[in-house]
Amino acid sequence: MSNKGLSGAVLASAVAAAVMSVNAPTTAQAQAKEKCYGVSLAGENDCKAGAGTTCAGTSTVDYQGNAWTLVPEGTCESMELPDGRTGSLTPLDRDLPEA
Amino acid sequence: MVDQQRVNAAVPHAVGVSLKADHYRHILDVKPSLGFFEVHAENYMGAGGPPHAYLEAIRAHYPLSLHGVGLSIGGPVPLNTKHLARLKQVHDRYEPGLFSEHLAWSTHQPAYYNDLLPLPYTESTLDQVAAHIDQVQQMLGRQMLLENPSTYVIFEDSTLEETEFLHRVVDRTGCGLLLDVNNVFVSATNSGRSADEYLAAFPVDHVGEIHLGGHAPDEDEHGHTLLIDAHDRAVADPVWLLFQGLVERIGAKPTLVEWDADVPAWPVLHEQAVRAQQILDNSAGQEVLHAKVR
Amino acid sequence: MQRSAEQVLRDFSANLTAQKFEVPAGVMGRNGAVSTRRFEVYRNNVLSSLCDALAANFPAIQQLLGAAYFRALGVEYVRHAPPTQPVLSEYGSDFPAFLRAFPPLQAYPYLGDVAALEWAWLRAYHGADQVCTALEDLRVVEPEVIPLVRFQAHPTAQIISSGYPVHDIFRKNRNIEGEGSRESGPQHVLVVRPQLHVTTHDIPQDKAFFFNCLASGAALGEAAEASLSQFKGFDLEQALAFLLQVGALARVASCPIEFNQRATGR
Repeated sequence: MSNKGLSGAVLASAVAAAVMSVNAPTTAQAQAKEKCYGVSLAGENDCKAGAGTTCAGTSTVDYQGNAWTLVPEGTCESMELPDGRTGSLTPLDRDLPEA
Repeated sequence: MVDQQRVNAAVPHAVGVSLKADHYRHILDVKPSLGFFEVHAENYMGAGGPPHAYLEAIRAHYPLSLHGVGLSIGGPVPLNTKHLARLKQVHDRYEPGLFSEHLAWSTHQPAYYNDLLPLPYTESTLDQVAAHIDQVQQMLGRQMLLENPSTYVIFEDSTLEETEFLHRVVDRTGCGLLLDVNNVFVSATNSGRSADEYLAAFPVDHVGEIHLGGHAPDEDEHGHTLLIDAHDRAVADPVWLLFQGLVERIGAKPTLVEWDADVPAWPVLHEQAVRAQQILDNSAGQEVLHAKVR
Repeated sequence: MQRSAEQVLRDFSANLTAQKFEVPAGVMGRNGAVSTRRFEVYRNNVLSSLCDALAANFPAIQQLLGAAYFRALGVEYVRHAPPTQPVLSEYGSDFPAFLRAFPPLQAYPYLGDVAALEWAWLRAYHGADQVCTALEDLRVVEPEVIPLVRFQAHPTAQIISSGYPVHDIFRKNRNIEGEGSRESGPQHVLVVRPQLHVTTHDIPQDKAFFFNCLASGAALGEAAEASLSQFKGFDLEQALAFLLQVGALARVASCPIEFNQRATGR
């Protein structure tokens, strides 16, 4: 390796110090005894018929070209963004469809 | 967590329930008295992580029934060999006492629809289904059980009754059958036919497992009752009656109570299992081996 | 019959997710009546179960957009990119790119990065298990060959870098308690699951750079040099201690003979 201000000895002592400073992590067994953190967060397969005849899956809102009649109504409108701006980066009416 | 010794793989002729992530912790804490747990194979196809950690721990104490939902055995396209290989991995890792899949399809490649879609029953679909089952059984090195579907439509082109179709699949492949009594009731009601007649014609000698589950009532635009196989509630009374009659006829079999949506607190699900177990216990067969639900 | 079963199923398939559809020929309700509602049971199940899976895989995006918007967007995504394999926890790899490119959401440019972080979380959740031995491995490496050590990163470790405070947005919209970030500019998030819990760490750019060097196979000396030349204040000891502590480095992958001889108990 090149020696632009970082000698092998300096590196080795930094590594030794780093190794010394690390605490032993908790074991997987100990974690398994804790509450079931996050076990249901991912999509799961099953064999049920979910929506039935309710139109939950067949949205009446359809995106064709740039016509999109919905505006987000979740927390994205109140998210604080960089530079102190709040909410979306541009006014929400930009998301409304052209009449 | 792969260090534990496991209980024997064989699934007893007793009641089990679907294993849901919501119940992992409780099951490991309490170790409820149950015949087995059933899992959907596709939920354990990741390389690692919490699903495997919990399933390993639960498998140590219970036999397992592995239930596939993604093979698309009833489809016209060749089986997805990559998926089949992943299934084999899950199978070999957990040594399930039973493996089952559906008489249904879910892909018309490349798209996968995540639904158990119906097929017409004809000589040509029989050929395809039989070939697919041969392939699965060869890959896994074991007998599989094929489950009768719940259906909402009928195909004009069907030339075989479902029971006849299943009979011939069994004859051709040597597979067993998973008889879903709720599906029998749902499909019979939806097609305006008799569930009793269906069961009378069913090749019951080949039943290796029974499913029970809840359905949601609805109706179609012609005013006909339409039952949805929602698995979101307790087993309906007519399904309990069909189950009781079936058990009196064929004796106790491994029996699963399914509950996949609006999964209740453990005691509610367990109560369903207890009720099913009582029916098995009271059957003339009395073939309950061990691990009864109390 | 003139229709083959294959034609019937092709027809069935073609009408499952399309916006405009008709009940496939030969598909009947009770008494032979054509029933749109019965066919719609299948359409609804397909679209809604896939939207549900997407919502389960991207809960922060759903909270950001609201459930109604997310569902409509989900249907668009399902039509644009239906699953190509059956495992639902693996559905949505293209969702971050889809969000970035979706014209009505151009006002929310951070969504794609938040989705990328959720995807990294999901991959870590289901990723391969590996017990970290890097710490023990390092203890037996001769000091003079330390610069030549190469690590294997933990199989679940990944860095998501964003021009937005993506970690703060992710935590807030997954309702994870804890203090916010140090600053509200770009964020670099290390995702790793050393044991059972997926952990996310908001880290400075120099640490992210250092990790990426090591993860791509650079020797420790090279990675340290590169990090120092890029970032003036880079603290090697602290960065390495951090990566070891959080389990981002799984083991020492290669090292000159001295290490190997010791490891094999010469």
